[in-house]
Formats: sequence, C-alpha cells, structure tokens
Amino acid sequence: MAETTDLRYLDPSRLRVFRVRGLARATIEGERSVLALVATRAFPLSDPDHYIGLLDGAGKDVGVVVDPGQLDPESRAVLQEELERRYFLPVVRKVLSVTEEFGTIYWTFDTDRGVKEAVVRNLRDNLQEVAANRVLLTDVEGNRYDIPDFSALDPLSADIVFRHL
Amino acid sequence: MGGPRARAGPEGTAMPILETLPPELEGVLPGAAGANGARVAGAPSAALTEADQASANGHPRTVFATDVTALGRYGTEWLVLHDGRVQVFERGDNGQAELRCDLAIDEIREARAEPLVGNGVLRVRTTDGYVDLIRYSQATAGEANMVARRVNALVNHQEIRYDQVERRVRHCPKCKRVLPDDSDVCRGCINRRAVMLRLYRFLAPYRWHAAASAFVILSTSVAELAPPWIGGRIVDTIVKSVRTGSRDLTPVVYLVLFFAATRVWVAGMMYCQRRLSSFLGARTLMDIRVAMFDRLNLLSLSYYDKRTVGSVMSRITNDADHLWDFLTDGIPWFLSTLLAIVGTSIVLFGMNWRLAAMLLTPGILVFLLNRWFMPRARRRWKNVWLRISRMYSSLGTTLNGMRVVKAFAQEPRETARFRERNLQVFRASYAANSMWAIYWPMLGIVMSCGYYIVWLYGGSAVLAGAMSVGTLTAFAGYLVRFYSPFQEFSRVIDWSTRSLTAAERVFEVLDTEPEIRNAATVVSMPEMRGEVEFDNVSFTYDRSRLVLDSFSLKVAAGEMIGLVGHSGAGKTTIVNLLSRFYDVTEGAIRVDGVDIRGIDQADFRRQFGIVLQEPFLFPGTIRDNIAYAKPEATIDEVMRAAKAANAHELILRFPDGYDTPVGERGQRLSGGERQRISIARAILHDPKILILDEATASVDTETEQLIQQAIQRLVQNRTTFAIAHRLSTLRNADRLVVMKEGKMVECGTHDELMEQDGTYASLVKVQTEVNRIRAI
Repeated sequence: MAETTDLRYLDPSRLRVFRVRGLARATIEGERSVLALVATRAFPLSDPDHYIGLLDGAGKDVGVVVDPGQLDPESRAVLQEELERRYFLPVVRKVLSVTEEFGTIYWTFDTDRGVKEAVVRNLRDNLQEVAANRVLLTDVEGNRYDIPDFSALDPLSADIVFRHL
Repeated sequence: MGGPRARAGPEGTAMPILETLPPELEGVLPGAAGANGARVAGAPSAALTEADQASANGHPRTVFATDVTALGRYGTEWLVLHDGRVQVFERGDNGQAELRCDLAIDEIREARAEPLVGNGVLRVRTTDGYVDLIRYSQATAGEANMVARRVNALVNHQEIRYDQVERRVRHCPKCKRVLPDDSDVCRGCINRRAVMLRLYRFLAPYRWHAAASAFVILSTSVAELAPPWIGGRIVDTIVKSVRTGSRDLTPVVYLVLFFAATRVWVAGMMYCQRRLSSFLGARTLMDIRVAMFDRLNLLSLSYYDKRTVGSVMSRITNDADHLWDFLTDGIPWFLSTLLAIVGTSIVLFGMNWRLAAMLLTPGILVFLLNRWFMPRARRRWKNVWLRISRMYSSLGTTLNGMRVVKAFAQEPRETARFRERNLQVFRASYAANSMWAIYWPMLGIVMSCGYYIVWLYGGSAVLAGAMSVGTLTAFAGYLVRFYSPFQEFSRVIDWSTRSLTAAERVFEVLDTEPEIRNAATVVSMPEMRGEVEFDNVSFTYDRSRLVLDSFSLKVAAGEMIGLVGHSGAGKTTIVNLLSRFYDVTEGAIRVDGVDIRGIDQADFRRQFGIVLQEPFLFPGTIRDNIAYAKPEATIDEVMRAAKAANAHELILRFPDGYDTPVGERGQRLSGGERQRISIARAILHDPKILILDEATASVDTETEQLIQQAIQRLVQNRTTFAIAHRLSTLRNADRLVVMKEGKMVECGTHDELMEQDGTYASLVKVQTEVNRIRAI
C-alpha cells in the first residue's frame, strides 16, 4: 500500500487549473492531470487566501498551493471560482434589527452578501470564538455568519453576544 | 415585489417548494402547448389542471425557490421542472424572472445536490459535461435534495415521489415564533388557564388535603392581621387609663391574652400548613413523575432521536421539580401574600381611609422597583453561574489532561488561561453584587417614606383629635406587613411563567403519542416461524436522503444472513426497521407473510432478540442481566444459557459468581466479558428472529475464539441478521448481503461472492490483511 505520506507543496509555475465542460481540472506539468479537482482552504478562518489544499475526485490529496496569487491569471481565476463556490460564509457588516425573546434572538443582518434574517436559539451552544472579538454564529437552520468584531455591533447585539460567550 | 418570502406556507415562513407560481414567473413560463395566452400562473403544482396535464406529460410542475444566487449573494432564484425540461430563472433588473439555463431532461444523465461549506450546489451531469444549476443555503438543503431526486426520477423514467420535506425549523401555528427543537411548546402562547386546570387535576385525588391547606392559609393570614391592631388598642387603653387616672390593668391583660391566643393559633396553623403542603407537593410530584416515565417508556425511538438524553431527563427532573416548588411553596405563598395585602388594606382603610390611601403610593413604588431590578439581577447572577461553571470545567479538563500539559511543557499557558477564567468570574460577580448596592438603599428609602407619611399626617391628625394614638401606633405597626407583599408580588409574575412553562413541558410529554403503534387491526402471532421478507423497502430519517433504497430480500426460517458494507451503507437501518424501531417509508417488511405493522407488538417483541455492538448491562446482578427478557427464568436456564455463551466459567471465577453486581456501581467488566453475557441473555431469550450487531472492538485471540463459538451456538436454528465484521461469522452465514449507499449490490454465499471477485471479495482481502498485521 505505497502512498506518498509527505506533504507536497505545488510549484505554481508548473500548475495549471482550468475548466473543461463545467468541471474544474488541474495539470501539474510533466506529472499528472487531476480530472475532478476539489479546491479547499486549509485555514478558511485564519488564513483563507493561502494554503489552498487540492484534492482529486476520490478525495485524495494532490498537494498544497501556498500562495495562489503566484499562479497564472486564468488558473487563479478558476481556482478562485471554485473556492467561492465551495465556501459560503456571509460577513455581518451591520445589524439592522435585533429582538430577544424567551431565549431566542431574531436578528436582521446586513451582510456582504445581502440582507438576511437570522433566528438564533441557544446562542451559547451556537457561538464559536475564532479570534479576539471575532465570532461565528449559527442560526436555527444551520447557516453560519461571521462577525469580525462583535463589540463594534450595536450595543444590544454586542451585549447579547458577550453574555453568551 | 412579491416572491417566496411574501407567500407564506402553512407554517408561516417561505416554502422553497412552491405550490403556486410566484408573480415573477407568471407570464415567463410558456403556457400549455397550443393554448393561446392560457396562463399556468396560479395553478397549484399538486393539482393537475387540464393545461398542465397536456403539457407536462402527466407530471405536475415543480417550482423550487432558493435563497442564494449563483453569484453567492442572498436573493431569490427559481428552478422549475416541467414539460420535460429543467429551467433556472434568475431575477432580472426589472424584477421579472429571466431564463438563465434551459435543459431538456433527455440531455441530463444525473443530478446531485452537492453539500459544500455553508451552502450547496445542485449540479447535473449532462451529455456535454457538468452544469451547476442553482445554489442553496443550509435552510433549503432538504428541498434541494428532493428536487435532485425528482430530476433523477424523471431522467430514469421512474415514479416521482411527492412527499413533503420535514422542515428543520418549526413555527408556532398561532404566533409564528420559532419553536424549540425538542418541544412543541411555544413560550409566547402558553395558555395559562388550561395549564392551571390540568395541574389541579393532579391535585384532585387529594382535594381534602388541598382544601384543608387553603383553610389553614386563610386563617393564618387573618390571625396575623391581629397583632398590630391589638397593639394599637393596648396603647389606646393605657392612654385612656392615664387620662382617667385608673390603675386597673384588667383590660390590658385581656388584650394581651387575646394577643397570646392569636400567636398560639398561628403557631398551630403553621405546623399544619407545613405538613399539608409537604405531603401535597411530594405526592403530586411523585404522581407526575411516574406518569411521565410511564409515557416515555411507550414512546418510539424517533422521539429519542430528536432529543438528547439530557433534555428528556431534565423534563422528569427539573421541570417536575419546578412544579413541586410551585405546588408546595409557590401557591401557598402566593395565596398568603395576596391575603396579606388584601387583609391589611381592609384593616388600614377601615381605620383611617385617608392615611391608608396615601400609604399606597410607596407600596406601588416598591413593586415597580422590584419589577425593574429583579430581571436584571437574575441575568447577572446567571452570568456569574455560567462563568463559574466554565472555570470549573476548564479546570477539570486541565487536571485530567495533566499528562499532556506536562509532556508539552504548557504549564504557564494553562495558568494564564485559568487566571483569565477567574478574572471573568470576578468581573461578573462584581457586576452582579453591585446591583444590590443600589437596590437595598433605594428600597430602604422608599419604604421609609411610609413612615414619614404616617408620622406627619398621622401625627397631625392625632393632634387635631381626628385619630387616636393607638390607631397611629397600629398604622406604624402595619407598615412593614403592608410593604413586603408588594416586594414579593413582583416575583410572582416571572416565577409563575417559569412554573407554567415547566408544567407545559411536562404535559407535552404526557400528551405525546408514540409513533409506532399497533395498527387498528392487528394479528396476534404467538408462534412465529421466522420467515422474513423485505419487499422493496426504502427508508429515510429526515427526508433529505434515502438511507435505504428499494431493498428486497426473502429469508427462510432459520437462515443466517450476513450484512456487509461500509459504515453508513444501510446495514444498521435494515435491522432497525426489522426491529420496528422505525417504520418503513416505503415498501413492507413481512414476517411469516404478515406485514410487521399488523402484528401485535407484544407478540413480536417477545420472539425478537437483539445482541448489540455495545452490550448494555443494567444495574443488577449478572443473573438479573442474563434473565432480563425472562425474569422468571430458572437457575438452570440461566446457567445453561451462560454455558452456551462461554460465559459460565468466567462468571464462576468472579468472587460473587452469578450474584456479582454489574452496571454503574458494580463490577467493571471487560469488553469480551460483556459480549458473552449479552450473548447469554439472547440465548436465554430464545427468539425466533435474532439481530446480531457485532462489536468491532478487538479482543485477544483466545477470547475471540470463545466469542466466536458462543455466537455459533447462538445463531443455531434462528433466523439471524448479522452485521458481521468477523470472517468466521461471515463464512458461517447462509447468505451474504453486500450493501453500498443504501442499495444491495451483491448477494450470495461466501464462496460465490469470492468467485465474483467484486466488492465483497475486496472487503475480505482488506480484512485478512488487517488481521495479519494484528499479530496477537
């Protein structure tokens, strides 16, 4: 059962990422082609723009691209599209309204992807502290929201989050 | 601008699978073939109009509205299945729907709802490549899956199942608020009166006690009103005596005796009151708990699936406790407080209504003060409690993991972390206690206002001769008694809400009907042969994905079937369905030709046995555990069963033999020992149909052999379904069924399947290699 166990950093100058008939593919010059590429962020929360892990259609590791910015423009674009497609985490810019009742919080967020109403219950269990003031919120439907600095929200929301941390 | 959000479904929220066409799509979708201007708009997809029928080849239209656009922004897009085509519409600049993608079903090979991070994509494989049709958020994942299934059904020319997706989020039918996960009780809509009535029905068997308790409270309240008034009378009598120069103490003595008598009466009443309410409270609590447990036992597994054990337990413990508090302390206290206010007011107003009226104001202020403070104080204290529990839990984790901390030399970091937690506790406690710093002084001032009023106004009245000194003294005496109920009363409101919520949750359990019930007509089957047939059985837990798909199998009586496959392939589902822990979504399971839903459950379960992966032993002796299914089993039967399971010798080796206590506080048994005892239990039970869910945990070879032997003896002459991991079990099986992603892919004997060199063969090869590596 021979398998490469070493982590592989991919050389951006030899990597091409492109799309064929709707499916993302990658070619490592002189080595192999990956037919159904899955692009993942190794650190989606702490370093989303670096360390892109590439997997093949069977879920096996292909390699890691440390800095996708070093790829050629077309590859970079396709890679970016794939990442945008895979990761959906709205960032809350402002709170438009907030009401708390019986332990359930009804928020209307203005996010970077549009306005969204979120109902959060059991906030304590649905709050994830990522960094100093950055939290991730999960609503009752399973959607997550990124709040970069909860202390910068309106006082009521900030208080609500703080209380449940 | 309308859209799905405006068109609320029965639960009051947007329904991704729309029943009627949204306004944006009206006029954009082609009408019926040949119909001029005939609009399909407004036609519900469930009902077939003639136009629909003609155009859609008998399949009604499906409209799926999503909440995420292709560009990853929040917005609405639609996917419409109709007329042999799949079309995707996006919202154009003018607000109307614009066609973005148009595919014929014939071009599509396969559809898949691909789950990603925070969202999903409905993607199809066409003759030409791959196309992403539409994106969706977590909220609509279930419906997206359903749409994918429908597309696949159309592609494969199969029947479309028109079932509803179970919404993850449920809403109260009355006020549209979001309901909690594990309950249908809407906090906003609690019908107080209905709950109170039900509570009283629990008291009904003890109504004499309750009546006596009420009488006691009433007479205590009345008696407690007396002392200040008597005090006032004493003062007046003395003043009068001084004025007339009389030295006669008799009237005072009588008054004092009266005073003493009321005190004794109150003492006696308090004694009775305590005893009565303890009895009432504890007794009704017991009744409630037993009723709940009784009901919980009846409920099917899906009830437990949706809730954690903790939440179910908290109903029986916390919620029932709240009720007990309410009944023992709450109601009597509430009554006596109410009577105190009313009684004192009557007396005060009777003595001097002007003064009494003026005293009301501070009383109301006290009430308002409490209403404002209490919720805030409570919240802060809750915070403190939380921080403390966090600190303890992190302390516990660190101490438990001390090995790791030391190995990685992280002591300073752990110290810093502990310090931080404690700092938070400090801050929270300080904030909470600071509230009291404001509260008590304020309370004191407000209450003392009463005294100012009494002395000033009362004093001037006495000087003017309008009031006696005694009355003034009485007023002063009543003041405290008057104000404290106002203070208490503000607590009543929150507290009664909490108790009523608890009561509602209790009643909710009592009202839940078990899902698996005997059908109206059941066949009693006291003796089963053990023939089992799965007829095109499909199953899904939450309607988003089929975990079992069109499974069919005929098993003869006494045959042993080995179920093989990767985790999640459907093996456990098959046995769960056979055990009737859940009912099939489609198809039927028959035993001896009769659908199991039509067999009397008691008969069924008696002839049905199960050996679990993780053998569960109840607190009790080994003998109790072996005889669990048949408590009246004789010693001979118990020992024979243990011997057949290769457990007899090991039990004899225990100091207490068959009387050894196991379970929580008993002997800790090893995995292999528990396995064999659980096999003995099944042997004694002697079922016609047996489910064997083999443990994957490895044991040493010697124990392994013993267990294998035990299993062989167990499965003799029984229809057995074994989720097998051991090669020996598999080899002994009469037939093997290989499952993959919910479907049966191979079926045959071990030798046949090895020859086929398919999935099974490769599984066996991996297993043998793994076994070789495990040298012992």
